[in-house]
Amino acid sequence: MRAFLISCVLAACASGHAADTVIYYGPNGEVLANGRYTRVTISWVNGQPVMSQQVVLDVGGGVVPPGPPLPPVPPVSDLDAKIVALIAQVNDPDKPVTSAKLAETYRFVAALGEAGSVTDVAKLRESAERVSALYLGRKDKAIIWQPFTAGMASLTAPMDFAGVLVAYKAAETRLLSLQPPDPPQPPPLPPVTSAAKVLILIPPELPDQELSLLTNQSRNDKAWSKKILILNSDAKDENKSPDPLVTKALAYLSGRPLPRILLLDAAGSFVADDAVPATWEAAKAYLTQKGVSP
Amino acid sequence: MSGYISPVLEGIDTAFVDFDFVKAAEASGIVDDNGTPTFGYIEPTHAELMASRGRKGIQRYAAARPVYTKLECIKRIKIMDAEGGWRYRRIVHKKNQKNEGSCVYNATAHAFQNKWNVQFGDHNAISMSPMSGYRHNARSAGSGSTVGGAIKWLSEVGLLPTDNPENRARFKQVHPDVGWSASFMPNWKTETAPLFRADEWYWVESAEEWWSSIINGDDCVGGRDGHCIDHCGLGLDGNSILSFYVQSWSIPWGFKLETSIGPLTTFGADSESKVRTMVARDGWALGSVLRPAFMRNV
Repeated sequence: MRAFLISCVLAACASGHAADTVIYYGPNGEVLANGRYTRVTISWVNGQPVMSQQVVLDVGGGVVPPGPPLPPVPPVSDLDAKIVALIAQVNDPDKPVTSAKLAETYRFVAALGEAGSVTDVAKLRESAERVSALYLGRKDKAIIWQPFTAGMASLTAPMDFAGVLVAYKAAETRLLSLQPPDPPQPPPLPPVTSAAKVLILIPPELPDQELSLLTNQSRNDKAWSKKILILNSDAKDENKSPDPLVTKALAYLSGRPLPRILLLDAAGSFVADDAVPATWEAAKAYLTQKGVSP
Repeated sequence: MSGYISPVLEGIDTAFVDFDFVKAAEASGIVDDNGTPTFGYIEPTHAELMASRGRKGIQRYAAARPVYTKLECIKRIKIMDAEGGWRYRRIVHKKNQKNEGSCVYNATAHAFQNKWNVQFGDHNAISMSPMSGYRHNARSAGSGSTVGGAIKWLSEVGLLPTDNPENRARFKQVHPDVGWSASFMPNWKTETAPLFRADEWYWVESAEEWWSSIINGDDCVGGRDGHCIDHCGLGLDGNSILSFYVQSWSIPWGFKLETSIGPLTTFGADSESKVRTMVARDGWALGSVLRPAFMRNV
């Protein structure tokens, strides 16, 4: 080692160069190969992994010797279709969220390759595996996404360095294309119906204060009261036979729970039903939405 | 009075709380067949009580519907006060028994009419004749009758509509509200009375059940001190619960409440002790009335 250093110094002096000569050694005393050495930091913010990289060492130039010939990179369109197919195999309820994390994996690893921080294709694939595992975090997510990650490993296995970079960028694009879910939408307004009359059907054991209030208020509201019929679900006619309208209503409801508000058209056919709203004000709003007018 | 007071009780004449019916009957000279001051409520015998309570289909209120504690009732009364939930609002046809002892049937007619109006609406209100039932359950115009007999009659036979121009145009048989000697129209019992029957009565056995049934939307019928009245609302005087009844005497009497036809001065109130007296004898809540065929297209 000492002889090598002396010879270098002598060579520099003999050539008359004024610039410093810098030589980098590895931990075992080996001279470091040319290239940019990058420090990768993975920190955790709010339970999420955040990666950062910084080139901490840039060692001289140098040309990577060409390796053995590799199979050609598949056309992008074909590659893209395969990646789409791999994503489709994943059944993840949080797919848009998880795919965004994985997109970051492939963006990051591709950037390492493009920056020259990783020059070996095997290490590039290995980085992708490690980083994706890190981003997926939970074991169940790793299992859920295994069809995709394993598929990507198989897909890129025969590729050369440049091909793998192309594949990773394509994966990033595809994974990002899965948009996060839309924010919850308010429930759709009930469709307007042809309802003309209202039946409030109450199980005989349940007239409680809330229903008592609602039914009395509906009767206090003279404008609406004429549209409303209030019956027990065991109501009877003058022959003490089951009331025909109630029988029809119960058949229409097919076991849906009581108390129930049912809407009838002018011909007496049921056109809609719902749980009885909690208050008379809410009931009026519901009826108005359904197209019933006082 | 202290604490919360129901708005309808503000400033009322306290003479109408736990009103002394016996003294009023004495003052009016209204007596039953034995000369006892009464407006028509006679206490049932034990056998009559058992017969009415043991009828097929009769359910104990506590076994059939929600019952609240007194504390819960107090909370719920405040809500009902604020929301206008009391059934006295359903009164369209106010009864007047005049000088006959038909209070039990006037009370049950009030209860029937109110429940009818809840089910079908005040716009479909029909005035019912108390005398059409009392005439068959009493010995004389002044003898009085039992609540158990009336609930049986309303369940099995039914009342007739009041004899007025509107009902005459609509029904084959009608009957006056008062008049012991008024004759019945032919076939009244098979053609018209069956249309106006109660379907579900509940036997009320405690003050808590009584208050709960009124909160839950039923009218309660009970008798005390020789008189029977229909209770259709509650009020609070501090932590004392008062049960409102609609009187079957001529107007004005008692305090005023807002009804479907405007303010009526015809209400009295009974304290817990009076309610306990009524349920110890014969208290009933009317759960529902039949829906006759002629009500199918209204």
